[in-house]
Amino acid sequence: MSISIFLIVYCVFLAVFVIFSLFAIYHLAAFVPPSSIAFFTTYVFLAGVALILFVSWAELQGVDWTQTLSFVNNTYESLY
Amino acid sequence: MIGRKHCLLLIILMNLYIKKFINQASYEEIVYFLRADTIILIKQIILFVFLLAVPFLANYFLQVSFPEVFENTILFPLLALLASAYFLTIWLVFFLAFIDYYLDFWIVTNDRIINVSQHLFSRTISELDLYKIQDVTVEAKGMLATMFNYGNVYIQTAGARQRFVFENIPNPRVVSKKIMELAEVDSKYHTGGGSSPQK
Repeated sequence: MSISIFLIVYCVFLAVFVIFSLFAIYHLAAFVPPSSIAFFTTYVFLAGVALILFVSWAELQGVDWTQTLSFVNNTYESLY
Repeated sequence: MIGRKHCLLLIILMNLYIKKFINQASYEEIVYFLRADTIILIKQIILFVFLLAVPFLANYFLQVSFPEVFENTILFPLLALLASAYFLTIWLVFFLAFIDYYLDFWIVTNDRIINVSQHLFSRTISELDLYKIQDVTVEAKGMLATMFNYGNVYIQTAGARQRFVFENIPNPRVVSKKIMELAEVDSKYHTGGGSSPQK
């Protein structure tokens, strides 16, 4: 099993995250009283999400996702 | 000057929104538009900042105590993905908490109380006629509530919905007193014991 399994789990998490975010943005857009708050908070939220995703992508740039995942031996040997 | 005009426009728009939202009758007068106290939002912001700091502290601890983790080709991507998921989760939870704070409100008129309660997948709007009110109770729990003068107001009715709660509103004593006064006037009108000039 390769470590790309981590990415698959992360993508599942992202899918759930997107669903919840869309619900939240919909509620804000549909029910908020007239003010610039809805636009501003949605903008800040999306900017924050973009920043987190960008930093994550930058951190994971050099990772070889084809590495084999072997919990006991490889991890232990590479640590010590 | 532009700021003042903008504020004035927002106030007018807000009033129009409330009037339309509650389907305001000609005799009806809006007495209060209430939200939870700002201190509730500030508490959430403090919690958010604390939660935001946790991964940075963990990162510092790992770099000092176990620097080999960052060299490990399997643990590092796993930790990076976990950190990313953690940040996204607390960011979303904070956003939802803000929406919950901003979209939960109570409107008190001289005829009724309207409660709007927002949750992630639901939105509840309930109404209560003032003349049905039997009792109003104020509760300020904890040091912060006493210091910043916020608390809960419980409205007891004889109807099917036994209790109506204004959660963490500012000046709960003033609000409860005013509601009792309004309920008394409305009750007199409905029982024929008095007249309400507005109706």
